[in-house]
Amino acid sequence: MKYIVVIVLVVCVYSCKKNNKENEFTKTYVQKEEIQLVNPKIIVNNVIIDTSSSIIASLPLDQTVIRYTTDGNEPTETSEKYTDIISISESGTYTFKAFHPEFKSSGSEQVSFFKKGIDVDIFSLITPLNKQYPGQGESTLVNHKKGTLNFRDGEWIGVTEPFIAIIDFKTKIFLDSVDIGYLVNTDAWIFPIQNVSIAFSENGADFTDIEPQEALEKIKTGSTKLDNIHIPVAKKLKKLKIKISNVTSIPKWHQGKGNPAWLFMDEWIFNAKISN
Amino acid sequence: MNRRKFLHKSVCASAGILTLPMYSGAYTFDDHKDLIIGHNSHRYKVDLNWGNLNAEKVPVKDCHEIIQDSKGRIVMLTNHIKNNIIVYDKSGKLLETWGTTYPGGHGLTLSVENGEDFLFITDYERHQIIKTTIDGKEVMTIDYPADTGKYKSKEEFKPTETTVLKNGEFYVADGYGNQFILHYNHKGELLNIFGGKGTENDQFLNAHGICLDQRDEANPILLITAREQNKLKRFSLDGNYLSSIEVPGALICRPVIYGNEIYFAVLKSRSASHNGSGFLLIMDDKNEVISCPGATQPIYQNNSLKELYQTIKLFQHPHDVCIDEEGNMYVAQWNSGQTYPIKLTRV
Repeated sequence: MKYIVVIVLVVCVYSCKKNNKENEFTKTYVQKEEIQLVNPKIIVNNVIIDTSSSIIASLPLDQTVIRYTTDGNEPTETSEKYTDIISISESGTYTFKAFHPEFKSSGSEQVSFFKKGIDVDIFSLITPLNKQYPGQGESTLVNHKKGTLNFRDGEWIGVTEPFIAIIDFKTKIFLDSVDIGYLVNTDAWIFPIQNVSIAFSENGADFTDIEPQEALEKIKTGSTKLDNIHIPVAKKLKKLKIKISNVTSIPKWHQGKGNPAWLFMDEWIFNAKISN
Repeated sequence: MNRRKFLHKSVCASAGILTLPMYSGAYTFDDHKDLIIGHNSHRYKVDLNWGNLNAEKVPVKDCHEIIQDSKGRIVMLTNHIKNNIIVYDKSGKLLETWGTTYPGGHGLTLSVENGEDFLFITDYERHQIIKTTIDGKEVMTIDYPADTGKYKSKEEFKPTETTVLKNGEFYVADGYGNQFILHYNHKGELLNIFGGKGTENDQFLNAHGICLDQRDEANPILLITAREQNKLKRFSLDGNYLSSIEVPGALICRPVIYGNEIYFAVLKSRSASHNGSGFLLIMDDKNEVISCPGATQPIYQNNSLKELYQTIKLFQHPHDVCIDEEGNMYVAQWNSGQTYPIKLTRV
């Protein structure tokens, strides 16, 4: 019996040593399951749809499958599989995510399409453009062009003070809603819109405030994204006065805490029907 | 610190249940789940534990460049002024540290002169190039080239890299400054200046790295990265532009020649929308990209390389690579959360 115990112990010690070494050797390396895929790369022609647009999604890594949703939710392993270029003719939001049998799935990548809004006859700035980021000048917000994540691409106007403009449609229209496009890039001190106020005028002279809508986004961690506020209006009008305020005091978690943030906007889209 | 912590399960702790050799298979880690990055002939396993140190005792900020000295030691330059130079053995064990005066320590190049190792350090905050012995004694300091008329003040000179010829002459790339390439003799006297900021063939946007290419011994040339332009430019030693090699999508830092190949850390993928989109890139003796660890497989279509970009979130901002005599790679990263170098073992 004594010998058996000794043998078992020897076997144990031997196997411990051997396997410990093997384990350390193999476990030194990063395992696939610990690593996340990057987001699929999304290429779109234009996100403001005049006639049509399209999306191409890609992540060329073996066994990767890209899935997407059209309801704004994050794709799951059962969502629609992306196989080929998607043609777009209506407004909507497409969300893509990449899956792989061995790697962690990617984050999601979202792109929103907007129907082209109506033309603005006169766009009058009440507050000046910032010299550093004037975009394409006064018409930047109504030129039917959206910006990219690159805030220097010329399609963005950047301000550090409230931005006020009056929009004159010349004729009376039925304005269904307004979409205000903005950028978030906290590394560059670009934060979401803090406040929006809108007033409308039916006769072109007297303005009435439109009641504020849902609470605006507040971000709690660093991020970079394109976003949009959709504001229902449903009024007959000739003119609109829009005031957009930037974040006046950057939150505590950010290195710029207490300072005013940049506000970057690329496009205001007026979804309307011509009315008599 | 944003490093993965491994689960070091104690094998012996569970040995009480699994003592017999017939169970020993249960311990063997499933080898083929190891991440293998890269393509074709250049593929690697990844070791994130290599070289990790106590950040309170031996801290790093950006790990800018990394080289191997004549003794086989791995020498890394960080801009942390508690210990600008960190010297490891190949197993990742700390051997020594030195240097407290290089706040903009960026370029690190080995020069072997009569069997003795020297280092060329560029410092973009001191606006200087400093030559030291391998243990940190300064033997030469080069200031901004005021006499050339190309610089209004020393602040415009932010050198990022050097390369040294056998005869002691050396070249400096002013990659964060006015984008000139400066050619000095072994005493540090300026012989030539060329390049400059611009988009012409012989100019640069972010002349970040430079190295001597003597793979063709009869015709040594210079390889200089134009990082923002995603190009590697070839120049004669007397500063004439020869040709460019396009690497679409890849912000290549500095060329490192080992054997017949050129290795690069790629700071980021040009078209990535996220931070930390870097990877590595390897060219063969024909200067064609053959492997991109951490990124898309290099594919040539009609003689042009398709855009490269990161596929997995492994590297953040790789800034330099060093290749040891076994073909393993050591990767230093900029702005990666004060992480130490990563070792890649060639498979």
